[in-house]
Amino acid sequence: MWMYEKRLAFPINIKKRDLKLAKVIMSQYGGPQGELGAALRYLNQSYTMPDDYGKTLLKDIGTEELSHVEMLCEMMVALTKGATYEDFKEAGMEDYYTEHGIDLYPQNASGLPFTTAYISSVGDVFANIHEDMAAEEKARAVYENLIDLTTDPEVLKPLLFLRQREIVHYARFKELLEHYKNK
Amino acid sequence: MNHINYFKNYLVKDNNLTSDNLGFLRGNMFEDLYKPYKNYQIKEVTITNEKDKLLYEISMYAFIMNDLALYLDTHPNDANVLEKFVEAKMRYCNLVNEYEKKYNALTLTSDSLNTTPWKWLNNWPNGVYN
Ligand SMILES: [Fe+2]
Repeated sequence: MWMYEKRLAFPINIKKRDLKLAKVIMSQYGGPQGELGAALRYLNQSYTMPDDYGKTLLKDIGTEELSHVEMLCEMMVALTKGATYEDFKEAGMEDYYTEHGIDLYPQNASGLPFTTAYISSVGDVFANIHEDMAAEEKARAVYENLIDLTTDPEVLKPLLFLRQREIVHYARFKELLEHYKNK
Repeated sequence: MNHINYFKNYLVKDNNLTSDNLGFLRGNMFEDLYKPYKNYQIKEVTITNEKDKLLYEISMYAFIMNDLALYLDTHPNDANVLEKFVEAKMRYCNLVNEYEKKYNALTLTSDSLNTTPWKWLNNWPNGVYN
């Protein structure tokens, strides 16, 4: 069961509109290495983990990923705040505006909608944890690509924070893998 | 519960924990796990009023609780880190109490929701930060 807490995991203070940046950041919302997929991947796997170690770690990290989804949504809202259809046109985002207006929609940077094909569960604890570790590494790499594309210091702060979380998650999954290897 | 050898022997080194504020800004409480990106520096978050400052501290201790909890999930016998976890939890609870008394409810358990009008409607995160 979850209980909502009315605050962000990390403060977002973005004041400068940047539609193009919002569009690429969207990839970490609904793209293949995004936080929505991460949350689903871990929470979904947590139910069938072989012991309390696996169940607990996957539930805790899956829950944290949901708070990252929220951060990204607030970042995209801040980056598009007050934008008109003309601004979308100027940013070359008529396609996005046509289907979603100013709403958020989980998709990758080139517009492919979120799909559960991004996550997997194969009934093998070793294969699943390897998948989780790879997912963390790929998410870290995508955050680094986004950091490369960003100059606004207020966007960099949460991106650097989110990137670092992937490093920590990777390390914990690796420890969980060692635990099952030694069992 | 029967703990596995791997966990029992892999305890955090002394002084491996980063300070509260820097650990939060970095997104990592563990000195030996921290990996900076290129030469990007960690910058302080801009805070302009008392309310945001309190909320910042709440988020900081909630972060520390969560990061230490993930560690304890795989190192359940580490008494040093558990002690730090208990301390962060205590600070978090006190700060939430103070914030909810002064401002708005963060969760449905807040006593600030006991009177009309229904205050749960206010205080959305983006309203706080943007
Ligand atoms: Fe992660």
